[in-house]
Amino acid sequence: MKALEETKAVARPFVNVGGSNITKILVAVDLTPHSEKTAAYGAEFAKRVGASVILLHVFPPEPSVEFASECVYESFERSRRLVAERLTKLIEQVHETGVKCERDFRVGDPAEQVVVAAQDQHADLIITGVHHPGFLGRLFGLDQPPRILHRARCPVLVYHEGNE
Amino acid sequence: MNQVLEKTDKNVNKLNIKEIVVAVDLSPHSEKTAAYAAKFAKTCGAAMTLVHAFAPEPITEFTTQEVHETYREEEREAKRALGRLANRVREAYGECGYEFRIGDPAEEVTLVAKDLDADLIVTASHHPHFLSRLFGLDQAPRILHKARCPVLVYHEEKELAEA
Repeated sequence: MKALEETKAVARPFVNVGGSNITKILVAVDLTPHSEKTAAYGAEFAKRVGASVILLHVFPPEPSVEFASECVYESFERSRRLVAERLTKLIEQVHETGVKCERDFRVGDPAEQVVVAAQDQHADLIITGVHHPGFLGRLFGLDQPPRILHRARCPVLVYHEGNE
Repeated sequence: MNQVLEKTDKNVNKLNIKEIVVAVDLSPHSEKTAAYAAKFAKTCGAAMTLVHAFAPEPITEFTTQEVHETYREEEREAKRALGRLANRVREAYGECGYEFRIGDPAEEVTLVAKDLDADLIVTASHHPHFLSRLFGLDQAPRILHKARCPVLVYHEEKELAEA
């Protein structure tokens, strides 16, 4: 009720609606087939509002246990290179749409790194995809968008592929 | 991979944001959310619909006439507040309607979005504590999981800095 009264009490003019002031969009992708759709949506969205895109992928950190052999380390490096190449290909694809696109590749916790990257890059918007995991996945925080949502300091757009 | 991307580009090139549903809880933050959505709607040339879902009347055997009347008055006041907010948005951007619903906020917002075939839902998050998130009191993640279209969650940066 208090909230309603506060809304009622507002008498100043409504904020100037001069069009969107989104100039930089951070598109966070996990490089699954869904991320290609998320990146394409991000590029089209950026084109619509006249913004540039930063395509980000966060690679999980190297498992540092005392039993990790040279072989494990090499395999980790190989996967990291492979993922970096896939990110580069995705960036080329975004470039083809005519949208300015930069790359950001980080290692660490996905939600944390996305939020840090958005702050570092002064992004006005984060776009990420959602895979609709089960209840347990959500409970144990395996679903990244809500984790990003609660940490982010800027608006977050979560893209659903409607017909999936 | 290229095949997938080509297919993806064809689908996304059809991206046409024509209808935006804006979920508001009528707190002071709602005006900022509506203003943010209006800016975006103007850029896209989209229509926007403000949606507020009012909690259903708790019916128990102890509900008195007085409690019922108070509930009805709160409901009417919420409806008026939503109308006022829509009018304020229209001062800046004319393509704004509103929808008042009674029920669970996340359910009702996603239903309106489905009914209107919305291309985007805009809502706000108030960065609640861990326990409120665990018990689903923050509506943004609930809308996120129910919606079948993209969801934009708006944070007011200045407010976050003050928090």
